[in-house]
Amino acid sequence: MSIKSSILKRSIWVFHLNTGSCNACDIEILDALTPFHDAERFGVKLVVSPRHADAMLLTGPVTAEALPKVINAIEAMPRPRMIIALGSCGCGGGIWHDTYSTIGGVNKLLEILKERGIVVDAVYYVPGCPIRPEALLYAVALIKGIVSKKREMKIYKAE
Amino acid sequence: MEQLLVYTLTPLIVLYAIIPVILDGVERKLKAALQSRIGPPVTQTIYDLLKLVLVKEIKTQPTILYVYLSLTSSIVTGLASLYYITLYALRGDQVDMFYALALFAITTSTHTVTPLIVPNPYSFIGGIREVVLGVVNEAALITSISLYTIMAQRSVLKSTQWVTIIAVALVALTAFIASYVASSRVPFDIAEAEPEVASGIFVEFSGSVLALNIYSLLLRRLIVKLLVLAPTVGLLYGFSLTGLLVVLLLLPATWVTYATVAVILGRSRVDVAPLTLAKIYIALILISITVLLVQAYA
Repeated sequence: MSIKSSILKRSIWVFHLNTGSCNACDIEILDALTPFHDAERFGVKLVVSPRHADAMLLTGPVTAEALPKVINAIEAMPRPRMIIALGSCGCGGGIWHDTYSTIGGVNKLLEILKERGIVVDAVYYVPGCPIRPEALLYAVALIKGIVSKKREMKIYKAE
Repeated sequence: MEQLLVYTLTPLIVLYAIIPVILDGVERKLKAALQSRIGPPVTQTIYDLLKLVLVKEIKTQPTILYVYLSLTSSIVTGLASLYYITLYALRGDQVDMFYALALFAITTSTHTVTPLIVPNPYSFIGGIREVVLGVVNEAALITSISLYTIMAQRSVLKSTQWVTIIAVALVALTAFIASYVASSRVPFDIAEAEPEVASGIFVEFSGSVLALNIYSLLLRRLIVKLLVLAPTVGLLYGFSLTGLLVVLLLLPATWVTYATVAVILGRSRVDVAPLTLAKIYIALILISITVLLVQAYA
């Protein structure tokens, strides 16, 4: 691991962006940042401007209304930029994955970003409805290299 | 003698440049301990600043050159101010303190003007809020420390008259409150109160510009503490090399005390806080000047 990578992993400033969530994941994020869970011990700090952020905490399926703002916010982040997709809706759209008013999860968002030439250096998925604060801390620990991935991604298709 | 002083004090200035970053890490650890949590490591502020330097900066603002110039001049004048404070603690010459105060005023104004030259309305709103607080507080800080310096020069504590002691106590109280406020801590952490107020002064900055901004803020925290510690030690102990060492030893203790006060105090409304502060300052300074005048003519 290079020195640059080591320093970047020691200080993870997060920007919280609700893209149409029911607020359950947002409450859990706040819980993770309270003294009880103490995310600051991992160098995590909540910032208000995407200009300061290293990682974006994305909650909810991305609604069509929110999409331009979400793209602007991600573009405003300095590189290397990460997205931590939170909750079932954030990861794959949840029960809203194919509704008319949402684009459905972070993977669709990544496709749109790629079309526009906006690079996202890493994406982390934290499933759950809502997520548990410990799950968010696990994602942070994963970024820092403290723990290993729980599962490898597998795509099952109907025969 | 002057040449010798410059050579001796140069390593100390290098030390001054490092101290605020380390003490901020200690402060964060202390705050965590007071809130019954583990908190970040003491070196976290160093990692944060290094990370900001390493990330790719987003240079959208056309005034970026002026921002760099203003922040660099803020840091350079801050270090120069620290040099004169050290000279004052060594020699007790009040001219050194007035140089230090003048340089500190330049540091504050260049730091405060930075968000105002960025073409972002939220940054501008945050900057104006900082200016309002600065106008109220800097006047009180400079007045109280000037009075404090004059009192230390005349060794007023040798007098056993209770009115003199009251006057010194009031001026010291004003100076310490003003230095606390100037150190941008709760509830006067307008620059940093960003999770609540989106219009913070740092809102548009990223990468190395943000790192310079944060470093400049930490350096100001160091200066305001030394500005009040130097005359306090001079008044109680005298001006000498030992006095300077006492000042340097008291510095971490003062930093920790301010951090503890910041944890204890809750947030105040940012629009009400400067006005209340102005009333307190005017009352304290007027009472202490009146006491001094009464004593002089009695």
